[in-house]
Amino acid sequence: MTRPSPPVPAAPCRRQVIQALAKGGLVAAMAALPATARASARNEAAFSARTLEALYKALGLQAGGPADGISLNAPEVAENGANVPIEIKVALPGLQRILLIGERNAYPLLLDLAWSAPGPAALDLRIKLGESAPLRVIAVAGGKVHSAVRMVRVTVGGCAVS
Amino acid sequence: MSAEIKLRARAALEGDTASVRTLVYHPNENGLARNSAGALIPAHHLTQIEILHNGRVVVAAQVGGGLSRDPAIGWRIPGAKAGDRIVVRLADSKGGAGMASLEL
Repeated sequence: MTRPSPPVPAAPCRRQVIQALAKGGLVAAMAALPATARASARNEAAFSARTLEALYKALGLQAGGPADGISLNAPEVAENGANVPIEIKVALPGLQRILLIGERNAYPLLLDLAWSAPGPAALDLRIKLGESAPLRVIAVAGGKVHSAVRMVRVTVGGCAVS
Repeated sequence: MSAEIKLRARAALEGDTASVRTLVYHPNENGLARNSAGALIPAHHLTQIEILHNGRVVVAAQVGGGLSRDPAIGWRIPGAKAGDRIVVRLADSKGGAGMASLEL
């Protein structure tokens, strides 16, 4: 309790952005931008991307490697692809952003979330999966990109079923 | 007139974490599904979900048409205490909006 906790960083100073630019290029610099700056402009190109290649190009980042702090909980077999319950937990210091990608969905990007609460993130939600495919969660924390993948087998696809 | 998005929300304090549950009544049509006559159902889905903790945006989520119909979403927001205010704000692709305001 005696340890002085730094105030929640509302916005990175110019130096941080410049350092991030120098270190990791555009991706890290974008990750260092405050959440509100990103939220105001919806990345339509990413949400309308039909392929993973187009998606990552629109996002301007790569999937990144596995990390201990990310967990993705999804059913191994989902009977109804229109309603697949999943859980995401990310406990990485400096967490800024969480993305969720259904790798074989017609529109792969499901969620792009800016996180600015002071601590780990946990959420559960229900998504649509078009077919059996890897489901990937990407976390941007401290300017670094990490991800976790779970394979989900879908019995009845849920993208084009009414 | 943009439509109001209906939602049910509740929040509970678990230690120093706000457990927020939201149930949104929304078709979340992604524009790919067909009706029984074989015609495409136009896209109509949530685009944005925001959570504010005492007026500060702590979660700003952009979503596509990939959430389920009437999605139930649970969020765990750390750094909360009794009496804090949690606000959930929604927007959809047809200009609809919804909001819920809760006290912990």
